[in-house]
Amino acid sequence: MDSLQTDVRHALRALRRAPAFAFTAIAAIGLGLGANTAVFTAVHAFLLRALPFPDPERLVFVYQVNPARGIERDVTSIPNFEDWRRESRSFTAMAGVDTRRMALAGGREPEPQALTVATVSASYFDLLGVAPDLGRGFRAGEDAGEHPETIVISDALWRSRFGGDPGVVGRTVRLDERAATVVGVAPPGFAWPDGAEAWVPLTASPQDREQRGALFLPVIARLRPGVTLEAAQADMRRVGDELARRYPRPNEGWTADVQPAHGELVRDYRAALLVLMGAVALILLIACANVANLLLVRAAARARELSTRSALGASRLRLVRQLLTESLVLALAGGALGLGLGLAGLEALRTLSPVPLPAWVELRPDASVLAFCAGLTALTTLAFGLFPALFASRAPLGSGTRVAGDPARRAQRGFVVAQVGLAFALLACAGLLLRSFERLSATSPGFEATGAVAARMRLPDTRYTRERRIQYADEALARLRALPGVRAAAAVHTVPLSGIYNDTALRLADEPEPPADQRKVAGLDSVSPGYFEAMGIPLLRGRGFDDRDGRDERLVAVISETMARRFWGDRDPLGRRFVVGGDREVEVVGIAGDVRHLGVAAPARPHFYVPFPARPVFNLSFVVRAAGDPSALQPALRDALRALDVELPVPSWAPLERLVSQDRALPRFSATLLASFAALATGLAALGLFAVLAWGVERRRTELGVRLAIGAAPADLRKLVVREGVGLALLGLAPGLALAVAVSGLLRPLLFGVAPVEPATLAAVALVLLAVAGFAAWLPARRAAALDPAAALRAE
Amino acid sequence: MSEQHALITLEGLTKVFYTDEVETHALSGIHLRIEKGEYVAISGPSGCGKSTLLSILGLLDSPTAGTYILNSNPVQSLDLSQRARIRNREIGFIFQSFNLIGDLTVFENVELPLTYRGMAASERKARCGEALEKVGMAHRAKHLPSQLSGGQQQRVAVARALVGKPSVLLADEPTGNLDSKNGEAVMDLLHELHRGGATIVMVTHDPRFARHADRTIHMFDGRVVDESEIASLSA
Repeated sequence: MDSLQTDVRHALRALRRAPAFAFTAIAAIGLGLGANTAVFTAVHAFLLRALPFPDPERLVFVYQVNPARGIERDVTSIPNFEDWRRESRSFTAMAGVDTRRMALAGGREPEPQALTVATVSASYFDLLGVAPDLGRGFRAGEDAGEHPETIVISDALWRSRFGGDPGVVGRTVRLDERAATVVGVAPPGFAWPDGAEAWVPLTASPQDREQRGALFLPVIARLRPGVTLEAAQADMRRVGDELARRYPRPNEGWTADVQPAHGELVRDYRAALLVLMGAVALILLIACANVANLLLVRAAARARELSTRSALGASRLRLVRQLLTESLVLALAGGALGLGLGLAGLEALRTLSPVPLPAWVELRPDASVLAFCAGLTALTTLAFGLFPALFASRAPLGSGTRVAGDPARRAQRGFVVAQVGLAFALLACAGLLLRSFERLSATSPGFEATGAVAARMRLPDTRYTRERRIQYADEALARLRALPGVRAAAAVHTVPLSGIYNDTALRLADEPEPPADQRKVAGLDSVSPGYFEAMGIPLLRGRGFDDRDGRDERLVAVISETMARRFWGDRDPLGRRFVVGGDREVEVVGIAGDVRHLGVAAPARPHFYVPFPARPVFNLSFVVRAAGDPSALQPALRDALRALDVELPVPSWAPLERLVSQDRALPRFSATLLASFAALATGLAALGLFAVLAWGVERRRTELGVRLAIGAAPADLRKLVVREGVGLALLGLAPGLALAVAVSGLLRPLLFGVAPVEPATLAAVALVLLAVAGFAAWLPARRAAALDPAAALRAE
Repeated sequence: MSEQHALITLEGLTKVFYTDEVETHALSGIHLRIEKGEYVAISGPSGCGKSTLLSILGLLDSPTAGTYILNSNPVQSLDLSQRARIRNREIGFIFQSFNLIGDLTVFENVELPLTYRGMAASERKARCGEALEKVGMAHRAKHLPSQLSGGQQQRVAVARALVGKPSVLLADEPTGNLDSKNGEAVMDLLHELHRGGATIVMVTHDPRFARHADRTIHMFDGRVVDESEIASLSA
C-alpha cells in the first residue's frame, strides 16, 4: 500500500510536470469516455433497462399477423380481441389499448381541452401493476357499455386542470360532451401508452363489437407465471387459426402472434442506438490508440529514468506497475472528465432530440451507467497503458538488445495506421448517413408543404350526426375560404405524415373475388373539394371532387398514381370501378400524384380518396394554403372554427412543413450525431498522426541536420515529413475500407436510397482523411524545415 | 587471496552483439577476480568494452558465454526478476550523467532503491538521512535535482548508490560530466567510502582518477590486457 501511494504520488507529480501531455491524454480519454457514457446511458435507458412495471419481462404485445401477405404485426378488431381474451390460456390478463383525441370539459378552465386519451380495457391498470395515486383504476364491466362513464386522469392533468385538488375523485367532467366520473389519478410520470393524458374504459357500440374487419386496436397482455413466450405464441397461433376458420371473412389468412413488450417498444430505436454505440466504441479505441502513442513517445523520452529505476533494482513488473499507475491516474482524470462530458452530452441529447422521449424511457445515469463508466475507465487504462508500459519496461540501461529497426517507432506507426483505419470506417458510415439524409431531403413527400397549415378536430358523436358532420365541414370551409389571405382550404380525414393511416381491402369490379392472400389493399382518405389544391398534390388526369360528389348514391374516387399502375397496369383506370366494403362500387374519376403518407422514406402505397360527404368521419383535419405567410393567418383561422362551435376545443394550427421536418428529424439527428462523432474521431486520428510525426522530427534531428548539411533544401525536409504522414494515412485506408465495408451492413435499416457500400462516398471520405493527414503533418514538417543544421549536429 | 574471498569472479566471459548481419564481439574471454573491499579501476580507449563489462557486472546485461560469480553465487543466467532483486540489494550504481529522476526530490531519489526493496518508511527515512549526511547533502533533501549543481547531483547519486548498503559500487565515468574541482570532490568521496570498506569498481578513461584505485584493469578490443601489452598494441 505504501509503495502504491508512492507510485500514485510520483505519477501525479510526473503528470503535473508534463501538462501538455497530461492535458492531451486526459482530453482524448475524456472525449472517448464521455461519448460512450452518453450513448451508453441512452442504450441502457432504451434497450437494457426493464420497463417500469412489476415483472416487466412477462408483458407482451399480441398482434394479428398475415404470413402470406408478409404482415408481421398488425392491430386487431374488438371482436377478435374479445375472442383472443376468452380463448387463450397463456395470460393472466389481456387489454386493448387505443388512443384518441377527446375533448375534456370541467375543472378550473372554462374552455374544453383536447386531450390524448387512452381507451383501455378495464383490466389495464391491474395488468400493468400500476395503482392510481388517488382513487382507483377501472372495475370489471366498466368497459362493457357504449360510452365511457369513468376516467382516470394523469398526475400532470390533475395538477394543471384541477389544481391538484385531492377531492377530484368522484367529480363529474364532460368527455366529448358526455358525463364521466373521475375515479382516479395516475401516479406521477405514468403516461402509458405514450403521451396519454387520461384513460377511459374501452367501450364500443354493438355495431363496433361486430366489425371483425375493423383493425385499430393494439393489444397488451401479461404472461401467466411459468408460461414461456414460445408457449404463448403457439397458444395464440392456435386461437388465431381457429378464428380464421370460424370467420373466414375477414380473418382468412390471418393468425395471431406474441412478442415481448420491451423488444417491440425499442424496435424502432435499436438499429440507430447500436450504430451510435459502435461509433463511440470506435472513438474510444481511437482515443486509446492515441494515448498509447503519446505514452510511447513519453516512454522514449523517459528511457533514461526508467533505465535508472531498473538499475536501482526495480523489476520489470515493478516498472510496469509504476507506468500503469500513471495510466490509471490519467484514466481516472479522463474518466471524471468523461463522466462530466457524458452527463452534459446526455443533456444535449435530451434537448436536441427532435422527438419527445417515450414516457417509459428515463434518460438518466444510474448505478449501471456509473459502473459502465468505471469499468470502461479500467479497461481503457489497460487498453492504452499496458502496451507502452510493457514496451518501456523491457530494455533497461546498458541492454545489449540492439536489434534492427525501432520497435517503438513501428508500434507508433501501427497505432496511427489503426487510428486512421478506424476513423475512415466511422467517416464512411457518417458519409453514408449524410448522403442518405441528403437523398431523403431531396425526396418530395408528394405534396407542397410550404405555405400550408393544418388543424385536427374531433366532432363529438353526441351532437354530430352524419348530416351535421357534412354540414360542419361545409360551413367551416366556407368560413376559412372567405378569410383574406387564404388561397385554398379543404377538409381531410388524416393529413399525410400525421402517423395515422387507414387502409381497406378492395377488388376491381371486373375481376372475381381473389383468394385472401391476393386481396388488394389500399389507403383510404375522405377529402373535401379543393383538397388537392390545398395540399399541393398534382392532379395528373381526370378531375378532383366538386360540391356534388358524395352526396348521392354514386361513389367516385380519385386514386393515386401507384394505385393506378399497380391495380390496372396498362389499362386506363379512369371510368373503371372497384369494390370496397364487400359490395360498394366506386368509380375512378381522377388520378393524383403519389403521396408518401407513412413517411418520406416509405415507398408510396396504393391510395384512394373519396368525397368527404360519402364518408364523413368524426376525426377530421382542415388544411389551409395561404397566399403569403400562413403563420399570420393563424388567429383568424382559430377564430373562424371557434365561432362555428364554441363547445369544441380550440384547435391549434401547425405548418405542414413541421410534419415534413418531424418526419426527417430522426434521420437528420442520427446523421448529425454520427457526423459529429466521425469528426471527433478524425480529429483524434489527426492528433495521433501529428504526435508521431512531431516526435519523429525530434528523434531524427541529427539525421535531418545531416541531410541539411549535405545540401537538402528545407522544402525537401517538409516533403519528407508530409510524405510520411500521408503515407501512414494511405496505409490506414486499406484496413479502414475493409472495416467500413464490414460494418456498413449494420446501417442498412437507417439508409434511404443509398447502398451500404458507395464507392463515391468511400472515395470522398478517403480524400478528406488524406487532406486531414496532410494538414496534421504540416506543422511537424515546418518544424523540420526550420531546423538549424549546426545546432542539430552539435547536439549529436 | 583464496577463491572463497573473491566478491566477483568472471571466467571466460564473452559478449557478442548481433545486428542485422554483423556480429560484434564486445567482450572476448574475460577472466577477472575482484576481492571484497577492493577499489578497481577499469580503463581503456573508447569502444574497448569497459561499459559493457560494467553493465554485465551490474546485471543490467547478461553475457553471451562464460561465468559470473557474485558473492559466491553464479548470476550469469538468472531471470529478470532475480537480477532486479540482486541489483537492488548487492549493487550500487553511479552514472556519468547522474541519472537522478527529475520529478523526485533528492530524498525521494535516494529513497527509491529502498522503496523497491519494500522497506518500512521509518527505516527508509533513517537510512536516507544517514546516506545524505555521508555525502554532505542532507540540507538539500527537499530540493529537486534541477536545483542542484552537477557536483551536488553526483553526490546525491552516490548517496542513492550506497543507501542500500550494497556489496559493490559500480561507477561509470563518475566524473565525466563534472569540472575538475567537482570531479576531485567526488573522487575524494569514493576514496572515503573505500576506506570505510566499500568495494568499488570504476570505469574511467582518465589516468588521474584511475590512480585513486588499488588496481587498474586495462581493456582493449574486448579483452583485459596488461600495461605492456597496451603499449605494444597502441604502437
